[in-house]
Amino acid sequence: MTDVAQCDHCGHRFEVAGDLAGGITNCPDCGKATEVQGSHDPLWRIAKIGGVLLIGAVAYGVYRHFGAVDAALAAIFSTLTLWIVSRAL
Amino acid sequence: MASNLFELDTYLIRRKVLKIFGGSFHTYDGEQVVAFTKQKAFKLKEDIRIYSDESMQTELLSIQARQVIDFAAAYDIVDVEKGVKVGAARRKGFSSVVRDSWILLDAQDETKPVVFRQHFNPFVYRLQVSIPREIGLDRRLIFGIAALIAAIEGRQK
Repeated sequence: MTDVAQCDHCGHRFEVAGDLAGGITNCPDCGKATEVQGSHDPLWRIAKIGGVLLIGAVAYGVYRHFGAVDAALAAIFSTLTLWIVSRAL
Repeated sequence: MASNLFELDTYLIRRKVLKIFGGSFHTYDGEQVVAFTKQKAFKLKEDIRIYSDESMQTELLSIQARQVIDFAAAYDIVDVEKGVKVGAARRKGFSSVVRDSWILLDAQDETKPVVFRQHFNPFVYRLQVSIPREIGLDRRLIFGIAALIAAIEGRQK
């Protein structure tokens, strides 16, 4: 299985082996180390799905008690919070 | 100091076994410290940085896990100064249940043998690295793997 990676330095797109997902490889064009998106990391996938479900649950709960505008604000706030937490980790 | 590190044929990595968050350890050439390794705490994916000394001004290598799950995890080793990946190490999953075993991959994904010998001490972890002259493997990769083993594991072959 192969994935497509894009170099962080020169923007070159190239194919990489699937087991490099989430890792680092040298760009075949500029030779610099670049990150490969980690779409195959099972735990990270679960965390992302859990995050989406959590945001949905929070928004739905707020919608039931306070209304649509507050639900939208709650969804934005919880998304930002999860994003900050994921960056910190 | 950095140029010395990757020219050495032998060096000793020492770390204290008891460490609550993250970890750090020194690499010695005799009595002289030639590198300082810092393991970041609170990271989902293992993240280890190697500096020329304790001031952490000059980062030499960075080691990052590809995946969150540690079973049969692969770790990429990058020369930070030159911005290139020098190789990787993959932990053998089932073989590592009793005693840790690693597959070393150079930049071309080819494996080559290196011997790491651990000195048992319940309080201070010591890893002696001896590199044969004829091994033909990038010494940055060898040091990265030695630091990785010292940071992550206690028993290896």
